[in-house]
Amino acid sequence: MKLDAAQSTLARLCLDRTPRDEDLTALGGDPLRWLLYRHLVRGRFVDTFSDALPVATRALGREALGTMVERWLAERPPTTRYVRELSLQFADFALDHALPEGAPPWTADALRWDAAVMRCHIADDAERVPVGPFAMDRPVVLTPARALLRLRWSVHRDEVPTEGEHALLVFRAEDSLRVEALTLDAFSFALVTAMGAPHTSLTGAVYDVLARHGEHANADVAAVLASLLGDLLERGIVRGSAPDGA
Amino acid sequence: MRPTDPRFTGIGLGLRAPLAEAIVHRAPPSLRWLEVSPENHVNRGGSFVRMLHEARAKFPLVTHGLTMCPGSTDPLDRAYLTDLAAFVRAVEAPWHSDHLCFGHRDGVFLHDLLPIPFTRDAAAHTAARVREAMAALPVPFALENLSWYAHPGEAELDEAAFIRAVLDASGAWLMLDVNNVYVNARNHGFDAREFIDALPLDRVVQMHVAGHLVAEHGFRIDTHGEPVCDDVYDLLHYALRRTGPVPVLLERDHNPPPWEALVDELDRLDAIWRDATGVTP
Repeated sequence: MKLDAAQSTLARLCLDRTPRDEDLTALGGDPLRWLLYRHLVRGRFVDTFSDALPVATRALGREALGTMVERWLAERPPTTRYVRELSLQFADFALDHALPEGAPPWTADALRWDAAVMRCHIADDAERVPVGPFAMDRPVVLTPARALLRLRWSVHRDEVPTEGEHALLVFRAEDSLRVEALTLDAFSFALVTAMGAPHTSLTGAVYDVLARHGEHANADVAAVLASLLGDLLERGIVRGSAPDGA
Repeated sequence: MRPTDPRFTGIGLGLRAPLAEAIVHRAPPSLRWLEVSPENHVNRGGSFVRMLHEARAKFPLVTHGLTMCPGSTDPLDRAYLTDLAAFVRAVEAPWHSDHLCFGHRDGVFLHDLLPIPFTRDAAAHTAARVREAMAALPVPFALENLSWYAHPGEAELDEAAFIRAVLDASGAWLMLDVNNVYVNARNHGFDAREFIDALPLDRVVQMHVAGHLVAEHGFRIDTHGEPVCDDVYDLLHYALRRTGPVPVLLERDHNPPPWEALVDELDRLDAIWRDATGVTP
């Protein structure tokens, strides 16, 4: 059997929803041994996601997770060599498609939450952009280990989630390296979102958000801003500002 | 001349997150070095950076890859090789190794070590890719013999001849996985010692041992999730008598046992290593 044919056949056998008899015949030998490869490949993905997406797995159950994995492998199989990124690719796929019938209504939020946690957990925070002293008239430099998330269910907090609006800043704590979440009000959420835009000074971001919220700068806004920035700086979420010329 | 490094002698252990704390703080004298998989660390922040930093402060590191897949027909990923070379250089690994297999096809990663046909064409293709990879790496490169459960199509060569063909044509070294030899010997009904004798043992730079699962009808599955069995300890002794004092790594990737049980395995491997080589590490 030619190398190219062997690889395409074995890959198809592992990925297809149903193994094809012609593939087993082409590979030759004992079909059960080829089906073992299929079983090992598919089982490894399910195990990986059970670990990496714990809240979603709890919501779906392992059997429904396995069904979703089957569909993912057949329709949008993994294109990353890094195991740590597999759950992100799978979560993106699952959120783009109808979730299994009978899955609880918080399943999509559970996938979003688990994926955000994973993104923060693995984010490469090696300094790749210059960071200068914090300055209002410069763009803010935020930690890459962060994610903003709006949830309709309290999957981040409760074993049995309840419905409600949750605006979260998920981040990796600098000391413990654990992933945590801050609950933000609407103004703070919009502000942190605006801070993430490149080439926008912090002052510009604040005025943009005020304009969108129909508000004006006043003492209350200044107090909220000071408190938020103090918190973000202390937690290392704001690292400083982009220096001149950066 | 076989690459050697005085830091890498005796027994090593794979650095895995569930074991990291014990490795750093409760390592027995028998543990002398660690092996890391670059795929777990490159372009990543957080706890794995800290784990690597703490491990490096205590032990020398060698690298063992999971996804180069030299047997694949996909083009080699130049960005991956660049990152890999930088990582290998940064941790001062004396050599780098990966598996004689394929694991991706048309850009789809199957995350398994899949067999390639033991044919002359496949050997030539793989050797050419290995040469290309070696040109991008700053250290010698070794290929690991695979555990395989089935062979695609008809073989033109036996496995040992296939390995030899790839090594001869590429100039790569051999990472001899003793557990894989044992698993294959049991599953395919050949003599493990004869197989080892048929390999180019002067090209072995490092060995692996691990546990495997005994499934229905005695079929063996290479899991790295069980203790090393007595037969594999014996086969390791046999292999070391023939290769001389090459470093040996214990792989334990799943179902981590209590640390004391792993220390017992490391100590037993250390005793075998000393007895077989006549060397005190």
